[in-house]
Amino acid sequence: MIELKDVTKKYENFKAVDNLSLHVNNGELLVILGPSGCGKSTTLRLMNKMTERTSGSIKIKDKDIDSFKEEDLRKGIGYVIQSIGLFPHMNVWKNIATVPQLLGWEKERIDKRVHELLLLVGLEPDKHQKKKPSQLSGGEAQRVGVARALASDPDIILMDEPFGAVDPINRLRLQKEFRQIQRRLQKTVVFVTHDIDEAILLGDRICIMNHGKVVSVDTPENVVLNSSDEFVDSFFKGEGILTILSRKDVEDYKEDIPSDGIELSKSATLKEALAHMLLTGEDRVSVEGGSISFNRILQVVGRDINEKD
Amino acid sequence: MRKISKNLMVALILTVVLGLIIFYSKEFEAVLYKYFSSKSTIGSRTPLVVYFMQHIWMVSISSIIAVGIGVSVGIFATTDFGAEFKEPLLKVVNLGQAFPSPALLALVVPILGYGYEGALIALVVYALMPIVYNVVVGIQEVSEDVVDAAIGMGMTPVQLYKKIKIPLALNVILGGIRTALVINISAATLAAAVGAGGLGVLVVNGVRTFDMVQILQGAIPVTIMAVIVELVLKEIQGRLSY
Repeated sequence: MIELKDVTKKYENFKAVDNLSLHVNNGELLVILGPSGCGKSTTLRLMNKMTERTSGSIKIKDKDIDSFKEEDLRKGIGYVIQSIGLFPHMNVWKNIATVPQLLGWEKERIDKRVHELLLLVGLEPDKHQKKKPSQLSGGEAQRVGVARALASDPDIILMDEPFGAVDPINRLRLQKEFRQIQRRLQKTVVFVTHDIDEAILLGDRICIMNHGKVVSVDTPENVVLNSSDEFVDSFFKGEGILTILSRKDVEDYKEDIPSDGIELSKSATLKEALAHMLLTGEDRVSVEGGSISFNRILQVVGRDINEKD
Repeated sequence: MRKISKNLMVALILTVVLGLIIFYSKEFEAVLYKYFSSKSTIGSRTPLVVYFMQHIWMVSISSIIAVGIGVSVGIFATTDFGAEFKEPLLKVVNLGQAFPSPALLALVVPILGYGYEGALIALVVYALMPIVYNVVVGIQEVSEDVVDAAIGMGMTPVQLYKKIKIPLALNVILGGIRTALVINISAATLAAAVGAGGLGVLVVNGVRTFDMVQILQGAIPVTIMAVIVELVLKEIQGRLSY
């Protein structure tokens, strides 16, 4: 879907992106993770030509991005930035309608689309669409930002630390919601972040960058558990496994054995199940229609660890 | 119906007052004679309404030209093409604002001679300063994130200006226009000194002959006009900006 080949971006003598090659598959969410200044945002901005590359080629859907007019290229790619950049003089409806209006959609079609998108991101259309951005909370604004990026139903979405400015509690909620949305829509998403938990929670694959180069690209499980790279290991500090558990829903691993005690919610993850066991001292916790045991979690983790062998 | 704001209310009252002064200029003069000394006799001069219309005409023409040129130049300076000119332009404009308006008028006379055209050009140049300055600064101050998002969504440079930059800078731009117009109304008084007519004739003559009545006959309408324009434009600014 997106193919970067030997891409370099030079600022005078500094190479922000250094001879980088990367492939993003159709329908996958690729997280670019790295410390600040590693070139991850620049890499993202090269893809929609917000920054012009120095050398190398970038192809989107097998077409060189230079073969598009810049504006047309960008209209076909959703774009969300950390500060959201909602237009303060337009209400929510107009903000979301921006790209459809640029594309010349009819009013009724836009109306329908805005309505559907607000529902998708969990906002009430009637209550929110007439509001100005200054009347929204941080989380609501970020949801509108996501809705705006999805407005013309682009196949590709670029996200630059989209949840970075939201408080931790809301961030986790947004991340989980976004994961649901992504599972449903199956967009090709490139997601830049420096938040390790976010990367592991959301990514189908994680690309770790340092000094403008790709250090490693793999599934979260492999990156965290089977990495042989010192930099990658130092990044996760051995705690990544806990976050890996937060990617997995209890629902998918529960056993048919009934158990007493408090039932976990349906959307609970293995991490929450483990936390519950640590708190109660029990090695089995009940969920709707069954239960899950400590051994079962060990088994799941063990399989992930040994997956490569 | 929208509630009429306090600004508009005051502006309306002042307009009525101004109208009364202009159309009942003899009575207005008579009132002034009661309180101030004068060497001339009642009703011996050109009617007030003539000076008033000259004044309005001068201010309107120069303001329209200044807004047209000022907004265009300001917008140009903020584009990629005009980037080189921006800093020098801002410096010139800043200095220009500090330049006293009588001195500017005095400079125009040797070049263009006495009369209407010279005064008009001086007024245009003077009104340009705050307009250009505010257009440039207003557009510059539009949040970079918002601009980044807009470009990232595929807006062309023209769309970016039309939909994002100018609407967001409108408050500051209108503020500049307001300042320019108010300055223009008072600066036009001095235009009489170079023979361009207007209410300034009364003030200039009055000062020359120590005629308090004449000075006030010119100065009071000018002041009221300036206040009305200030109030009305403030109201427009409040309604148009987000």
